[in-house]
Amino acid sequence: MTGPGGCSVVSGFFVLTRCRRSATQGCAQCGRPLCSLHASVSGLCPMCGAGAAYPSGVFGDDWLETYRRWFYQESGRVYQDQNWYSSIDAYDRLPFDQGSDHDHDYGGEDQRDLVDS
Amino acid sequence: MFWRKTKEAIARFHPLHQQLLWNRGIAATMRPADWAGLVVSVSQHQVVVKRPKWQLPPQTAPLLVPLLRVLCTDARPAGGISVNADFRGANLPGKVGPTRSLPIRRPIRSLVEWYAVDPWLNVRAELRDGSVLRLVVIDRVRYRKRVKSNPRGKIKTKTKTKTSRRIIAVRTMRRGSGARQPAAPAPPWIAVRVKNEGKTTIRATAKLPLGNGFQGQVDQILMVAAEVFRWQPGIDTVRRRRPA
Repeated sequence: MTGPGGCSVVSGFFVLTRCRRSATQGCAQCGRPLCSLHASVSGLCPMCGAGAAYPSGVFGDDWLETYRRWFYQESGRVYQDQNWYSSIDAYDRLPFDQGSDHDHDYGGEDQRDLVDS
Repeated sequence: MFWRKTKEAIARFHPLHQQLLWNRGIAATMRPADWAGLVVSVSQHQVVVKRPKWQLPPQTAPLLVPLLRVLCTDARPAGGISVNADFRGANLPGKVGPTRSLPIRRPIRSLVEWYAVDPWLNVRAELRDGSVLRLVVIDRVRYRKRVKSNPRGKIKTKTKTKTSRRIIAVRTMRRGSGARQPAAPAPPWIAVRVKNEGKTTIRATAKLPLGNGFQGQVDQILMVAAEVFRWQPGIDTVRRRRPA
């Protein structure tokens, strides 16, 4: 769909399209090609930026990306339509989907940490 | 003069922002970039205006703005988005129907019921894929006013309301583009009708109780709208290059 070297950021809510401008760099987290318009100062694409930050309000720049991801997931559940959720690019789900190697334990592995010395 | 600086700040707001403030509603057709200008202006309201009397209708930021942002991102840059939003409420002379009395028994003195029909949102947007989306939200509110007296003759009045919402989403595909039925059917609470006369039209209608909070109402409206987008253009109508 996207030509080599084209920006692969998905825009739109119901009518999804790709940016397709010539890419100047890759996302620091997911590696997708980004144009100068969609690359943030931190080097992240809009989706990774939205996944990394706290959810912004409705006036925030990344609100649409965050809400779109949530909405497709929720409406896919309501409609029981797996194709509907998968219509967003896998890139867009990546920052939010916790893989099998996701560590739910935020504390140290060592049980000895719990014992007072 | 009191509130002079606030008045001056309001005068600098987007004209539709001012219309929302003074008329509790807007009716306009603009391009997506112009609607984005309104969203930016509305975002400054809480910062600039502190007077409670001059607050925007409560639906503006949590309900109208998300819908506008979704429509702006899907609309053609040069295409028009028409929005007719009325936040004045349902209990107005033009919206209420006739009253009727219901049977009563003591200590109820009177029980009167009437309905109000409030079509508070009507949107039309020309989308990037050449289709046109129309969204209509109509509230039907039942009012019941009860007058009751206690043994000492003290009279109390209570009015209860019950709202049901009808959401209609219509997508008119561009000419020559059919519609392919999605693999999973729509849930039973959404009625779908497809017409193939000239331009293909997909219409999804749902009658729902009022959503939980404004965010829940946004989700409800977009959830019904999502049905008309699950119908993709038909494969047979896509132009293919003849093999050499």
